[in-house]
Amino acid sequence: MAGTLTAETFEKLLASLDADRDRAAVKYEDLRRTLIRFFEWRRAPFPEDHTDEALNRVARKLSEGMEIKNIGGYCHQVARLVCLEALSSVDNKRDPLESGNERAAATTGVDEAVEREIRLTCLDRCLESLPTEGRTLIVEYYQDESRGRIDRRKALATTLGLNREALANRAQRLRDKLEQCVTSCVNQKLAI
Amino acid sequence: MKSSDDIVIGYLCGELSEAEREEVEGQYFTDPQAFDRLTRIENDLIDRYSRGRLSGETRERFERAYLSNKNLRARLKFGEALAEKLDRSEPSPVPTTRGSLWQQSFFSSLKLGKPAFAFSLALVLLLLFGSVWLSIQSNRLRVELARLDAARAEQEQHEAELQQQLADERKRNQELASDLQRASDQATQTKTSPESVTPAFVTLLLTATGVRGAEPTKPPTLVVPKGTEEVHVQLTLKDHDYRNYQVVVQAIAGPQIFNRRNFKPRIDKSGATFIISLPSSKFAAGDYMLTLSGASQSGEFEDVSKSLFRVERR
Repeated sequence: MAGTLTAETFEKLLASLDADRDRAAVKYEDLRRTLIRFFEWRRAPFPEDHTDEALNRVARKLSEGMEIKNIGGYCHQVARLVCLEALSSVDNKRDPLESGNERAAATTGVDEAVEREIRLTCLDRCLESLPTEGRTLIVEYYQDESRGRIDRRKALATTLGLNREALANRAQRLRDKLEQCVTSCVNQKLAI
Repeated sequence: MKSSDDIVIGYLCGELSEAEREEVEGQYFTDPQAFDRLTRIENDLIDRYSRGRLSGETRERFERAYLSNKNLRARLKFGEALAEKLDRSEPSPVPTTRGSLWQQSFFSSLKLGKPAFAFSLALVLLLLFGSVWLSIQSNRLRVELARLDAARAEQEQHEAELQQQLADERKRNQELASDLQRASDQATQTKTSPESVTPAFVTLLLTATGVRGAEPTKPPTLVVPKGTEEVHVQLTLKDHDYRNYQVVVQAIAGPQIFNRRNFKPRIDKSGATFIISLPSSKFAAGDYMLTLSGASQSGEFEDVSKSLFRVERR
Protein backbone atom coordinates (compact mmCIF):
# COMPACT_ATOMS: atom_id res chain seq x y z
CA MET A 1 0.00 0.00 0.00
CA ALA A 2 2.75 2.31 0.91
CA GLY A 3 4.92 3.50 -1.94
CA THR A 4 8.12 5.55 -2.21
CA LEU A 5 8.24 9.21 -3.12
CA THR A 6 10.45 9.86 -6.11
CA ALA A 7 12.89 12.72 -5.85
CA GLU A 8 10.90 14.76 -8.30
CA THR A 9 7.57 14.29 -6.58
CA PHE A 10 9.17 14.96 -3.21
CA GLU A 11 10.58 18.25 -4.50
CA LYS A 12 7.15 19.25 -5.80
CA LEU A 13 5.64 18.47 -2.42
CA LEU A 14 8.25 20.59 -0.63
CA ALA A 15 7.71 23.43 -3.06
CA SER A 16 3.97 23.35 -2.36
CA LEU A 17 4.64 23.73 1.38
CA ASP A 18 6.99 26.69 1.16
CA ALA A 19 9.07 28.49 -1.42
CA ASP A 20 12.05 28.38 0.94
CA ARG A 21 13.39 24.84 0.98
CA ASP A 22 14.53 24.87 4.62
CA ARG A 23 11.17 26.11 5.85
CA ALA A 24 9.47 23.62 3.53
CA ALA A 25 11.46 20.78 5.13
CA VAL A 26 10.28 21.83 8.61
CA LYS A 27 6.69 22.01 7.39
CA TYR A 28 7.06 18.59 5.79
CA GLU A 29 8.17 17.11 9.11
CA ASP A 30 5.28 18.83 10.90
CA LEU A 31 2.84 17.46 8.30
CA ARG A 32 4.26 14.01 8.72
CA ARG A 33 3.85 14.21 12.51
CA THR A 34 0.28 15.36 12.11
CA LEU A 35 -0.54 12.49 9.77
CA ILE A 36 1.01 9.88 12.07
CA ARG A 37 -0.97 11.19 15.02
CA PHE A 38 -4.12 11.29 12.91
CA PHE A 39 -3.78 7.62 12.03
CA GLU A 40 -2.96 6.76 15.65
CA TRP A 41 -6.01 8.64 16.98
CA ARG A 42 -8.09 7.02 14.30
CA ARG A 43 -6.79 3.63 15.51
CA ALA A 44 -5.36 2.69 12.12
CA PRO A 45 -3.00 -0.28 12.49
CA PHE A 46 0.15 1.01 10.76
CA PRO A 47 0.28 4.79 11.20
CA GLU A 48 3.68 5.36 9.57
CA ASP A 49 2.92 3.30 6.52
CA HIS A 50 -0.42 5.02 6.07
CA THR A 51 1.31 8.37 6.44
CA ASP A 52 3.70 7.54 3.63
CA GLU A 53 0.81 6.43 1.46
CA ALA A 54 -1.07 9.66 2.09
CA LEU A 55 1.96 11.79 1.29
CA ASN A 56 2.65 9.77 -1.86
CA ARG A 57 -0.86 10.40 -3.11
CA VAL A 58 -0.64 14.12 -2.41
CA ALA A 59 2.74 14.35 -4.10
CA ARG A 60 1.50 12.41 -7.12
CA LYS A 61 -1.39 14.82 -7.55
CA LEU A 62 1.01 17.73 -7.39
CA SER A 63 3.30 16.18 -9.97
CA GLU A 64 0.29 15.64 -12.24
CA GLY A 65 -0.14 19.39 -12.20
CA MET A 66 -2.96 19.68 -9.73
CA GLU A 67 -3.01 22.99 -7.94
CA ILE A 68 -3.61 22.60 -4.23
CA LYS A 69 -4.15 25.81 -2.32
CA ASN A 70 -4.75 24.36 1.12
CA ILE A 71 -2.21 21.59 1.35
CA GLY A 72 -3.09 20.82 4.99
CA GLY A 73 -6.79 20.46 4.25
CA TYR A 74 -6.10 18.33 1.19
CA CYS A 75 -3.77 16.09 3.18
CA HIS A 76 -6.55 15.63 5.73
CA GLN A 77 -8.98 14.45 3.05
CA VAL A 78 -6.44 12.11 1.52
CA ALA A 79 -5.56 10.77 4.99
CA ARG A 80 -9.25 10.11 5.78
CA LEU A 81 -9.55 8.13 2.59
CA VAL A 82 -6.39 6.13 3.31
CA CYS A 83 -7.63 5.45 6.84
CA LEU A 84 -11.00 4.23 5.62
CA GLU A 85 -9.32 1.96 3.12
CA ALA A 86 -6.96 0.67 5.78
CA LEU A 87 -9.66 -0.02 8.36
CA SER A 88 -11.96 -1.72 5.89
CA SER A 89 -9.20 -3.65 4.12
CA VAL A 90 -9.57 -7.41 4.13
CA ASP A 91 -5.76 -7.70 4.69
CA ASN A 92 -5.97 -5.76 7.88
CA LYS A 93 -5.59 -8.25 10.74
CA ARG A 94 -7.19 -6.91 13.84
CA ASP A 95 -5.04 -6.86 16.94
CA PRO A 96 -6.48 -9.61 19.18
CA LEU A 97 -5.93 -7.24 22.07
CA GLU A 98 -8.45 -4.85 20.53
CA SER A 99 -11.27 -7.42 20.62
CA GLY A 100 -12.00 -6.96 24.27
CA ASN A 101 -9.06 -8.29 26.11
CA GLU A 102 -7.73 -4.85 26.96
CA ARG A 103 -7.80 -5.45 30.68
CA ALA A 104 -6.03 -8.74 30.26
CA ALA A 105 -3.40 -7.03 28.17
CA ALA A 106 -3.00 -4.31 30.75
CA THR A 107 -2.48 -6.76 33.57
CA THR A 108 -0.22 -9.34 31.93
CA GLY A 109 2.32 -10.18 34.60
CA VAL A 110 5.88 -11.09 33.71
CA ASP A 111 5.83 -9.89 30.14
CA GLU A 112 4.75 -6.45 31.23
CA ALA A 113 7.47 -6.17 33.85
CA VAL A 114 10.12 -7.22 31.36
CA GLU A 115 8.75 -4.80 28.79
CA ARG A 116 8.77 -2.05 31.41
CA GLU A 117 12.44 -2.64 32.18
CA ILE A 118 13.28 -2.70 28.49
CA ARG A 119 11.40 0.56 28.03
CA LEU A 120 13.25 2.21 30.92
CA THR A 121 16.60 1.08 29.53
CA CYS A 122 15.68 2.39 26.11
CA LEU A 123 14.59 5.66 27.69
CA ASP A 124 17.96 6.03 29.38
CA ARG A 125 19.74 5.42 26.13
CA CYS A 126 17.51 7.77 24.15
CA LEU A 127 17.83 10.54 26.73
CA GLU A 128 21.57 10.19 26.51
CA SER A 129 21.41 10.61 22.77
CA LEU A 130 19.67 13.98 23.09
CA PRO A 131 21.76 17.15 23.09
CA THR A 132 22.46 18.40 26.62
CA GLU A 133 20.16 21.38 26.36
CA GLY A 134 17.35 19.22 25.04
CA ARG A 135 17.83 16.67 27.77
CA THR A 136 17.68 19.37 30.41
CA LEU A 137 14.57 20.86 28.89
CA ILE A 138 12.78 17.51 28.93
CA VAL A 139 13.74 16.87 32.53
CA GLU A 140 12.80 20.33 33.71
CA TYR A 141 9.59 20.58 31.75
CA TYR A 142 8.07 17.19 32.48
CA GLN A 143 9.01 16.69 36.10
CA ASP A 144 6.08 16.13 38.43
CA GLU A 145 3.77 19.09 39.03
CA SER A 146 3.80 18.51 42.76
CA ARG A 147 7.41 19.74 42.68
CA GLY A 148 6.57 23.22 41.50
CA ARG A 149 6.28 22.36 37.85
CA ILE A 150 4.39 25.50 36.96
CA ASP A 151 7.01 27.77 38.48
CA ARG A 152 9.72 25.66 36.92
CA ARG A 153 8.20 26.02 33.48
CA LYS A 154 7.83 29.74 33.94
CA ALA A 155 11.46 30.09 34.96
CA LEU A 156 12.57 27.83 32.10
CA ALA A 157 10.71 29.97 29.59
CA THR A 158 12.39 33.09 30.99
CA THR A 159 15.80 31.46 30.90
CA LEU A 160 15.44 30.38 27.29
CA GLY A 161 13.86 33.65 26.25
CA LEU A 162 10.64 31.99 25.07
CA ASN A 163 7.00 32.56 25.79
CA ARG A 164 5.17 29.69 27.48
CA GLU A 165 3.57 28.43 24.31
CA ALA A 166 6.85 28.36 22.38
CA LEU A 167 8.45 26.53 25.31
CA ALA A 168 5.62 24.02 25.35
CA ASN A 169 5.97 23.42 21.61
CA ARG A 170 9.70 22.94 21.87
CA ALA A 171 9.26 20.50 24.75
CA GLN A 172 6.58 18.68 22.79
CA ARG A 173 8.79 18.21 19.74
CA LEU A 174 11.62 16.90 21.88
CA ARG A 175 9.25 14.54 23.63
CA ASP A 176 8.02 13.24 20.26
CA LYS A 177 11.58 12.57 19.15
CA LEU A 178 12.29 10.85 22.43
CA GLU A 179 9.17 8.76 22.11
CA GLN A 180 10.02 7.68 18.56
CA CYS A 181 13.49 6.70 19.74
CA VAL A 182 12.13 4.68 22.68
CA THR A 183 9.45 2.95 20.58
CA SER A 184 11.98 1.95 17.95
CA CYS A 185 14.39 0.70 20.64
CA VAL A 186 11.70 -1.32 22.44
CA ASN A 187 10.44 -2.88 19.19
CA GLN A 188 13.98 -3.86 18.30
CA LYS A 189 14.60 -5.50 21.67
CA LEU A 190 11.24 -7.26 21.72
CA ALA A 191 11.76 -8.53 18.19
CA ILE A 192 15.00 -10.27 19.18
CA MET B 1 -22.38 22.58 25.37
CA LYS B 2 -19.06 20.86 25.31
CA SER B 3 -16.00 22.81 26.26
CA SER B 4 -13.07 22.69 23.93
CA ASP B 5 -11.21 20.51 26.43
CA ASP B 6 -14.14 18.10 26.60
CA ILE B 7 -14.18 17.92 22.84
CA VAL B 8 -10.47 17.25 22.77
CA ILE B 9 -10.71 14.53 25.42
CA GLY B 10 -13.66 13.08 23.57
CA TYR B 11 -11.66 13.07 20.35
CA LEU B 12 -8.67 11.43 21.95
CA CYS B 13 -10.81 8.77 23.54
CA GLY B 14 -12.55 8.10 20.22
CA GLU B 15 -15.97 9.11 21.53
CA LEU B 16 -16.91 11.85 19.04
CA SER B 17 -19.18 11.49 16.06
CA GLU B 18 -17.68 11.40 12.60
CA ALA B 19 -18.69 14.98 11.95
CA GLU B 20 -17.17 16.15 15.21
CA ARG B 21 -14.03 14.24 14.43
CA GLU B 22 -13.78 15.84 11.01
CA GLU B 23 -14.22 19.26 12.51
CA VAL B 24 -11.46 18.70 15.04
CA GLU B 25 -9.20 17.16 12.43
CA GLY B 26 -9.93 19.91 9.93
CA GLN B 27 -8.77 22.40 12.53
CA TYR B 28 -5.52 20.76 13.41
CA PHE B 29 -4.61 19.88 9.81
CA THR B 30 -4.81 23.54 8.81
CA ASP B 31 -3.77 25.24 12.03
CA PRO B 32 -0.43 24.13 13.56
CA GLN B 33 -1.30 25.81 16.87
CA ALA B 34 -4.44 23.72 17.15
CA PHE B 35 -2.37 20.58 16.60
CA ASP B 36 0.16 21.65 19.22
CA ARG B 37 -2.61 22.29 21.72
CA LEU B 38 -4.13 18.89 21.06
CA THR B 39 -0.87 17.07 21.55
CA ARG B 40 -0.14 19.06 24.77
CA ILE B 41 -3.50 18.05 26.21
CA GLU B 42 -2.87 14.46 25.25
CA ASN B 43 0.56 14.46 26.94
CA ASP B 44 -0.90 16.12 29.99
CA LEU B 45 -3.51 13.38 30.23
CA ILE B 46 -0.86 10.71 29.79
CA ASP B 47 1.35 12.26 32.48
CA ARG B 48 -1.52 12.65 34.93
CA TYR B 49 -2.66 9.10 34.26
CA SER B 50 0.90 7.84 34.84
CA ARG B 51 1.06 9.65 38.17
CA GLY B 52 -2.43 8.50 39.19
CA ARG B 53 -3.92 11.99 39.05
CA LEU B 54 -6.77 11.49 36.60
CA SER B 55 -10.25 11.52 38.17
CA GLY B 56 -12.30 8.35 38.18
CA GLU B 57 -14.46 8.80 35.07
CA THR B 58 -11.81 10.48 32.92
CA ARG B 59 -9.35 7.84 33.95
CA GLU B 60 -11.65 5.03 32.93
CA ARG B 61 -12.42 6.60 29.54
CA PHE B 62 -8.80 7.33 28.88
CA GLU B 63 -7.60 3.94 29.99
CA ARG B 64 -10.24 2.18 27.94
CA ALA B 65 -9.34 4.15 24.81
CA TYR B 66 -5.55 3.98 25.11
CA LEU B 67 -5.06 0.46 26.35
CA SER B 68 -7.23 -1.02 23.60
CA ASN B 69 -4.96 0.11 20.77
CA LYS B 70 -1.37 -1.06 20.35
CA ASN B 71 0.02 2.31 19.27
CA LEU B 72 -1.83 4.33 21.90
CA ARG B 73 -0.89 1.80 24.54
CA ALA B 74 2.73 2.28 23.60
CA ARG B 75 2.29 6.03 24.09
CA LEU B 76 0.82 5.45 27.50
CA LYS B 77 3.66 3.13 28.43
CA PHE B 78 6.16 5.72 27.28
CA GLY B 79 4.47 8.33 29.45
CA GLU B 80 4.62 5.99 32.45
CA ALA B 81 8.31 5.30 31.89
CA LEU B 82 9.11 8.99 31.50
CA ALA B 83 7.22 9.91 34.65
CA GLU B 84 8.91 7.12 36.59
CA LYS B 85 12.34 8.18 35.32
CA LEU B 86 11.88 11.88 36.02
CA ASP B 87 10.20 11.43 39.37
CA ARG B 88 12.98 9.13 40.54
CA SER B 89 15.56 11.87 40.12
CA GLU B 90 15.88 14.75 42.58
CA PRO B 91 14.21 17.97 41.46
CA SER B 92 16.85 20.36 40.25
CA PRO B 93 16.78 24.01 41.38
CA VAL B 94 14.91 26.41 39.16
CA PRO B 95 17.39 27.82 36.68
CA THR B 96 17.65 31.61 36.82
CA THR B 97 20.07 32.18 33.99
CA ARG B 98 20.99 30.39 30.81
CA GLY B 99 24.44 29.84 32.33
CA SER B 100 23.01 28.00 35.35
CA LEU B 101 20.82 26.00 32.98
CA TRP B 102 23.94 24.84 31.24
CA GLN B 103 25.56 24.00 34.57
CA GLN B 104 22.55 21.96 35.54
CA SER B 105 22.47 20.23 32.21
CA PHE B 106 26.11 19.34 32.72
CA PHE B 107 25.54 17.71 36.10
CA SER B 108 22.28 16.09 35.11
CA SER B 109 23.95 14.64 32.08
CA LEU B 110 26.47 13.14 34.46
CA LYS B 111 23.64 11.58 36.42
CA LEU B 112 21.72 10.37 33.41
CA GLY B 113 24.52 9.23 31.18
CA LYS B 114 27.25 8.55 33.69
CA PRO B 115 29.56 6.00 32.13
CA ALA B 116 29.71 7.22 28.55
CA PHE B 117 29.84 10.90 29.44
CA ALA B 118 32.43 10.36 32.15
CA PHE B 119 34.53 8.36 29.72
CA SER B 120 34.21 11.04 27.06
CA LEU B 121 35.07 13.74 29.58
CA ALA B 122 38.07 11.78 30.80
CA LEU B 123 39.20 11.29 27.22
CA VAL B 124 38.82 14.99 26.45
CA LEU B 125 40.77 15.95 29.58
CA LEU B 126 43.44 13.41 28.76
CA LEU B 127 43.76 14.76 25.23
CA LEU B 128 43.88 18.31 26.57
CA PHE B 129 46.64 17.57 29.09
CA GLY B 130 48.45 15.50 26.52
CA SER B 131 48.43 18.29 23.99
CA VAL B 132 49.61 20.82 26.60
CA TRP B 133 52.47 18.51 27.66
CA LEU B 134 53.45 17.90 24.04
CA SER B 135 53.41 21.61 23.39
CA ILE B 136 55.76 22.25 26.33
CA GLN B 137 58.07 19.45 25.27
CA SER B 138 58.10 20.66 21.71
CA ASN B 139 59.00 24.16 22.83
CA ARG B 140 61.80 22.90 25.06
CA LEU B 141 63.25 20.79 22.26
CA ARG B 142 63.02 23.71 19.87
CA VAL B 143 65.02 25.88 22.27
CA GLU B 144 67.59 23.13 22.77
CA LEU B 145 67.90 22.63 19.01
CA ALA B 146 68.48 26.34 18.51
CA ARG B 147 71.18 26.32 21.18
CA LEU B 148 72.91 23.32 19.59
CA ASP B 149 72.74 24.95 16.18
CA ALA B 150 74.36 28.09 17.56
CA ALA B 151 77.10 26.07 19.26
CA ARG B 152 77.74 24.10 16.10
CA ALA B 153 77.96 27.27 14.03
CA GLU B 154 80.41 28.78 16.52
CA GLN B 155 82.53 25.65 16.44
CA GLU B 156 82.56 25.61 12.66
CA GLN B 157 83.63 29.22 12.60
CA HIS B 158 86.45 28.55 15.08
CA GLU B 159 87.56 25.57 13.03
CA ALA B 160 87.59 27.71 9.89
CA GLU B 161 89.70 30.32 11.68
CA LEU B 162 92.16 27.66 12.79
CA GLN B 163 92.36 26.30 9.27
CA GLN B 164 93.09 29.77 8.00
CA GLN B 165 95.81 30.27 10.61
CA LEU B 166 97.37 26.95 9.64
CA ALA B 167 97.36 27.91 5.99
CA ASP B 168 98.94 31.26 6.83
CA GLU B 169 101.64 29.60 8.90
CA ARG B 170 102.41 27.15 6.16
CA LYS B 171 102.69 29.95 3.66
CA ARG B 172 105.03 31.86 5.95
CA ASN B 173 107.11 28.79 6.46
CA GLN B 174 107.43 28.39 2.75
CA GLU B 175 108.41 32.00 2.38
CA LEU B 176 111.00 31.73 5.11
CA ALA B 177 112.36 28.57 3.60
CA SER B 178 112.64 30.34 0.27
CA ASP B 179 114.40 33.29 1.88
CA LEU B 180 116.72 30.99 3.68
CA GLN B 181 117.53 29.13 0.53
CA ARG B 182 118.05 32.38 -1.27
CA ALA B 183 120.33 33.67 1.48
CA SER B 184 122.21 30.44 1.50
CA ASP B 185 122.67 30.57 -2.24
CA GLN B 186 123.88 34.11 -1.98
CA ALA B 187 126.34 33.22 0.73
CA THR B 188 127.71 30.39 -1.35
CA GLN B 189 127.98 32.61 -4.35
CA THR B 190 129.86 35.18 -2.35
CA LYS B 191 132.40 32.58 -1.13
CA THR B 192 133.15 31.24 -4.61
CA SER B 193 133.49 34.51 -6.48
CA PRO B 194 134.56 37.34 -4.22
CA GLU B 195 135.20 39.66 -7.18
CA SER B 196 131.61 39.85 -7.72
CA VAL B 197 131.23 41.47 -4.25
CA THR B 198 132.82 44.88 -3.62
CA PRO B 199 132.92 45.84 0.06
CA ALA B 200 132.86 49.51 0.92
CA PHE B 201 135.81 49.13 3.37
CA VAL B 202 138.15 46.53 4.73
CA THR B 203 139.49 46.33 8.25
CA LEU B 204 142.82 45.21 9.59
CA LEU B 205 142.96 44.29 13.28
CA LEU B 206 146.26 44.77 15.05
CA THR B 207 147.31 44.26 18.64
CA ALA B 208 150.07 46.35 20.07
CA THR B 209 152.93 44.11 21.19
CA GLY B 210 155.47 46.64 22.37
CA VAL B 211 158.56 48.10 20.74
CA ARG B 212 160.76 45.14 21.40
CA GLY B 213 157.96 42.54 21.12
CA ALA B 214 158.69 39.52 18.97
CA GLU B 215 157.56 40.10 15.45
CA PRO B 216 155.18 37.45 14.05
CA THR B 217 156.83 35.13 11.66
CA LYS B 218 154.36 36.21 9.13
CA PRO B 219 152.98 39.76 9.32
CA PRO B 220 149.20 40.09 9.04
CA THR B 221 147.98 40.69 5.50
CA LEU B 222 145.28 43.06 4.53
CA VAL B 223 143.63 42.17 1.22
CA VAL B 224 142.12 45.17 -0.46
CA PRO B 225 139.66 44.13 -3.23
CA LYS B 226 139.29 46.22 -6.27
CA GLY B 227 136.80 48.94 -5.81
CA THR B 228 137.17 49.12 -2.04
CA GLU B 229 137.00 52.69 -0.99
CA GLU B 230 138.44 52.72 2.55
CA VAL B 231 140.82 50.85 4.71
CA HIS B 232 140.32 50.74 8.45
CA VAL B 233 143.21 49.80 10.68
CA GLN B 234 142.26 49.02 14.25
CA LEU B 235 145.03 48.85 16.84
CA THR B 236 144.32 47.62 20.34
CA LEU B 237 146.61 48.55 23.25
CA LYS B 238 146.08 46.68 26.48
CA ASP B 239 147.92 49.00 28.88
CA HIS B 240 147.57 52.64 28.08
CA ASP B 241 149.71 54.89 30.21
CA TYR B 242 149.75 58.09 28.19
CA ARG B 243 147.32 60.91 27.93
CA ASN B 244 147.62 61.18 24.21
CA TYR B 245 149.41 59.40 21.48
CA GLN B 246 150.93 59.72 18.03
CA VAL B 247 150.21 57.24 15.26
CA VAL B 248 152.39 57.00 12.17
CA VAL B 249 151.81 54.63 9.22
CA GLN B 250 154.68 54.36 6.77
CA ALA B 251 155.40 52.11 3.83
CA ILE B 252 158.61 50.18 4.29
CA ALA B 253 161.18 52.05 2.18
CA GLY B 254 158.38 54.33 1.21
CA PRO B 255 156.44 57.44 2.19
CA GLN B 256 154.39 58.09 5.35
CA ILE B 257 150.78 57.67 4.55
CA PHE B 258 149.43 58.67 7.96
CA ASN B 259 150.70 60.78 10.91
CA ARG B 260 148.60 62.17 13.69
CA ARG B 261 149.54 63.60 17.06
CA ASN B 262 147.23 64.01 20.09
CA PHE B 263 145.42 60.88 18.98
CA LYS B 264 143.07 59.99 21.77
CA PRO B 265 142.00 56.32 21.69
CA ARG B 266 138.69 54.77 22.60
CA ILE B 267 139.03 53.43 26.14
CA ASP B 268 137.09 50.35 27.33
CA LYS B 269 137.66 47.21 29.41
CA SER B 270 139.84 45.64 26.78
CA GLY B 271 142.11 48.67 26.80
CA ALA B 272 142.68 51.48 24.31
CA THR B 273 141.58 51.14 20.71
CA PHE B 274 142.98 53.25 17.88
CA ILE B 275 141.02 53.26 14.62
CA ILE B 276 142.65 54.79 11.57
CA SER B 277 140.51 55.22 8.47
CA LEU B 278 142.30 56.01 5.22
CA PRO B 279 141.33 55.93 1.52
CA SER B 280 142.33 52.61 0.04
CA SER B 281 144.23 54.40 -2.68
CA LYS B 282 146.89 55.32 -0.14
CA PHE B 283 147.75 51.65 0.32
CA ALA B 284 149.74 50.31 -2.58
CA ALA B 285 150.65 46.65 -2.37
CA GLY B 286 153.60 46.19 -0.04
CA ASP B 287 154.68 46.19 3.58
CA TYR B 288 153.87 48.88 6.07
CA MET B 289 154.84 49.84 9.67
CA LEU B 290 152.40 51.30 12.15
CA THR B 291 154.27 53.09 14.96
CA LEU B 292 152.44 54.08 18.12
CA SER B 293 154.09 56.68 20.37
CA GLY B 294 152.88 58.07 23.66
CA ALA B 295 153.43 61.67 24.80
CA SER B 296 155.27 61.93 28.21
CA GLN B 297 154.68 64.65 30.77
CA SER B 298 157.50 66.63 29.38
CA GLY B 299 155.74 66.58 25.99
CA GLU B 300 158.27 64.26 24.31
CA PHE B 301 156.94 61.19 22.41
CA GLU B 302 158.19 57.73 23.23
CA ASP B 303 157.58 54.68 21.05
CA VAL B 304 155.01 52.36 22.57
CA SER B 305 154.61 49.75 19.79
CA LYS B 306 155.58 48.98 16.21
CA SER B 307 153.30 46.78 14.10
CA LEU B 308 154.29 45.42 10.68
CA PHE B 309 151.54 44.43 8.16
CA ARG B 310 151.33 43.66 4.46
CA VAL B 311 148.83 44.95 1.90
CA GLU B 312 147.78 42.99 -1.13
CA ARG B 313 145.63 44.54 -3.80
CA ARG B 314 143.23 42.41 -5.85
